[in-house]
Amino acid sequence: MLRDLPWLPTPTAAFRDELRALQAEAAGVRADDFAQRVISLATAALDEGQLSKLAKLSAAIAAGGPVPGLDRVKLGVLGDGTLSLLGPAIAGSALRHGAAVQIFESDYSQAVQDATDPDSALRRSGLDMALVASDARLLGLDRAAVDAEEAQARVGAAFERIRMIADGLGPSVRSTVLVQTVVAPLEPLFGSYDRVEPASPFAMVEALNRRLADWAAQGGAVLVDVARLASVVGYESWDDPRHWHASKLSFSPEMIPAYADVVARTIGAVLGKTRKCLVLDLDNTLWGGVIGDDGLTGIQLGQGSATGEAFVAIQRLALELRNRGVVLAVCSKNEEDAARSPFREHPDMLLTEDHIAVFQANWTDKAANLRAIAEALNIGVDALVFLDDNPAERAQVRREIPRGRRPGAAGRSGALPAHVGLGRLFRDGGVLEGRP
Amino acid sequence: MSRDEILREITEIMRDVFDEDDLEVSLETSAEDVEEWDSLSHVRLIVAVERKFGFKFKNSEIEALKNVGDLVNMVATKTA
Repeated sequence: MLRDLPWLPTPTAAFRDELRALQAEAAGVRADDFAQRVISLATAALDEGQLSKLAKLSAAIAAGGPVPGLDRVKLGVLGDGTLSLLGPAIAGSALRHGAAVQIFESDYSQAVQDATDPDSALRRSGLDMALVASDARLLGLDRAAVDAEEAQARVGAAFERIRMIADGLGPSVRSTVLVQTVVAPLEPLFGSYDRVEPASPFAMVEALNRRLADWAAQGGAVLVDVARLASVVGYESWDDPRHWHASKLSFSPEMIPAYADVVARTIGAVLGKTRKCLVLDLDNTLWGGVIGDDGLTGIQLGQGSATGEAFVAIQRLALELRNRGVVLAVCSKNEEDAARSPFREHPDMLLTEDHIAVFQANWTDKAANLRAIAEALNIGVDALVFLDDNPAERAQVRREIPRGRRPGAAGRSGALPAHVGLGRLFRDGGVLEGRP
Repeated sequence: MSRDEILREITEIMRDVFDEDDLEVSLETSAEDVEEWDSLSHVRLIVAVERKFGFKFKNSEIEALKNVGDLVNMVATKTA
């Protein structure tokens, strides 16, 4: 499940001890691999409590001198409801994406004042970025409007409020203002008619998100699509009225790690920490079976079997990424002629040799081949994403390439979750680590 | 699970949530006795207890909690 961050490894049992060691180092003499160990500790499926502990380390790094490998970011967090649980989780998650974030939180329900007053403590704190988090209940979009006209006015007022906060902050923010989309209320008011009736809370929230997206398209802000995240994890899981009523927390605390990773990934992307190249294994990754043993007619690819169709789907995804500017490379333990034959002759291959920028088919280990690919493309190894069905190969890459500089490694390709993870990885520049 | 065992588990959770390895917890311990125990860490504590014991509190149940003893009793009832 997405909420469990399944693409990240399970946290180490020594999490608290390692964190304490790093905290001591952050305050004193830092070893050469300090940043790598910080990133490595954060690159795990941490819960909300662990992330909040990491946030203290993150703040200490952000407030101190430069650390190679970690960008220091002062992030303002403004908006609706209780934000105090969100900020620390974002700071903890951002370490995973190469940013040491220090959080500056707006006081409860003071977002507009803090954003529009040039002398507010928030605006004078030297922010690099800001995040505007909104809630339908505090934007007045949780109750139906009388008619379409009033609905439009309410959506307009909600949009103007968000824009006032973002634009107000603008002059005091060095880099970017991130704006969240808004999650629609869980309970339908008119059932399926909600989508038809513009005065329904659901339709108003959808209309607001449309306006936010149009605004983002014009460069007004960078969007963090929390509404999409909520729909993927499921509104029923996302929503937790208990915590809204008790402490004005916008959504279930169990969703905080997944939420924080989406925000943190966006911060990483704004900082330019994106993956550039997808490195594909061949046997049992792009087709089923082993080309060297099964031959051109023996591998599973194409219509006729579910497995064969799944591999076509993987190839289609790789092509989609290529169309969006991601470079494709091949890294396979194979004889080169055999490895290239499906690209040349198999009728159901979507990928051709022309799509592959670097083709490494040999019997050398994968870590060495990944280094060769990165060198050929003149990018860092950490800009690669490595897709391989074989856990032993992924483990070898983890062993050989220093922590914190590893390529993302995705798991078995035939399964749908890998698709989802892979797409997300490139979409927001995230780091994907398959569970070993 | 006996009340003693529940108290031991909750003590571990509280030490983790409040980030105090030496925290001494008894049935009488309340938010007034623990410096780090504020409204925010209270949410963290409730979420951690729910995760550990696999159930969810109602708001009215959370509001009725006055000290660790109440929490232990609630967990004992819910997991019985």
